[in-house]
Amino acid sequence: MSRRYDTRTTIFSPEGRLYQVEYAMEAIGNAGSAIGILAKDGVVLVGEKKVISKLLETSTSVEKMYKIDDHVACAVAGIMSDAHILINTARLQAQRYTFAYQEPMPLEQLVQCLCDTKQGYTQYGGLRPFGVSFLFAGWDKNYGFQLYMSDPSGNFSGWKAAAIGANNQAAQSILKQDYKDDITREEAAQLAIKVLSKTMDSTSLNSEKLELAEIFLAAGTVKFQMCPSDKLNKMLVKSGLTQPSADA
Amino acid sequence: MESVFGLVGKDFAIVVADSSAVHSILVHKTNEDKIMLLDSHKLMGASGETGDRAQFTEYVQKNVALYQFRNGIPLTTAATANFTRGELATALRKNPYMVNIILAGYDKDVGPSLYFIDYIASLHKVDKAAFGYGSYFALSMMDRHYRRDMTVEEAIELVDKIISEIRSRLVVAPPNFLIKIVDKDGARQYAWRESIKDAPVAAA
Repeated sequence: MSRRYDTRTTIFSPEGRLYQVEYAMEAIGNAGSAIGILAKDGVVLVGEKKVISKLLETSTSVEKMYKIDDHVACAVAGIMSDAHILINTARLQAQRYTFAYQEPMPLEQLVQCLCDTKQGYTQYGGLRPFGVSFLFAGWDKNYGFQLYMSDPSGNFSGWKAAAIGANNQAAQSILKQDYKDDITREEAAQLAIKVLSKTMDSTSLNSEKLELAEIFLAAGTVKFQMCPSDKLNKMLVKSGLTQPSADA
Repeated sequence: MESVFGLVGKDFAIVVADSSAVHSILVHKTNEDKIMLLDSHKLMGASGETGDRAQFTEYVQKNVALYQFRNGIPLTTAATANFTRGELATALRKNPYMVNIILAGYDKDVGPSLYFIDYIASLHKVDKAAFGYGSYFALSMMDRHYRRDMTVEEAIELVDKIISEIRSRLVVAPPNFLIKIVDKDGARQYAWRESIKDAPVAAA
């Protein structure tokens, strides 16, 4: 019966659901997961890489993390090509704001702007929604470090810790138990990796399957840093999630 | 010709504008308010084409209000100044606004600030600024007497010196001036300086 109400985004079902939006979220549920954790001195984003091949040029390609502006970055989960369009929109919005006001765009406004775009695709135009969820992380002078999660419906909220993508509900409940309000950036990175290792499908964990990024303040400017793979490996060994390699 | 000038003090900023509304040889009124309150902590003194002045300052005021409603936080003075300049710049090569603006504001983290924005969309952050024929006298007086971190009393003393200079030296000098101030407690009217009061009108 629901078949009648699910082929177009622009109609509600009799139960008041938007099936296309829900199906978009299904698509994301099959994609590589990402976790974000807000620490008192920064924000940590961790992503699970689904595309693993020896032939992949790992030094130049980044799968999960993208810088939107100097003070904002995001992790994605879902259809990568959809994500790219939205990331470009976000980058444009951020620059437009800075062009008008000569100040960095406050994080909440940037996320709101992007979500307004996403909402449009659930109400008019006859186009399908974007099959991406985002974790936005950054710093602004109004509210300091912040973490936001948004989904295909165009809803978003601020989080202390959040997970998107495959097994995000399991990850979210582990985060609920283990998150402390005054967690440091280093502890947050350890926690994020630990949670991801529990919810990821693969049996062994190494730096090739993960991406880790941190946002923090250094000398008054916001820094976005991707963790290099040797440092990531060290962290994994330290948490006991990987066996140290034989020649260490 | 209209005079607007402003200066930054220790933890406040002052904007002064004449209050005559003139149309050719006729003085419509002598108590026109040309300094708009943009929000609780910002003042925008404007001079130029009367219609453009009213239209443009109200446009900026409403956009400042809209930003606050939408985002829950006020615009900083710097952001407001850049927004204003951007609007003037966009209109410049099509349908320019003939308005010169002195924007004063107080931000908690920055303190008082003053911005000079002219009708062809230049923007300068300054300690003192002036527009109009009165600017010849205002800027010279301020160059001579202005110091950083003046108290309100010292600043008003300088303002009065400037007004006195404009009144005595400008051939068609505006008779009345309005002084507004902005500090940590907000933006508000400080005083009138009237040399011509409208004749009292008998009630019916």
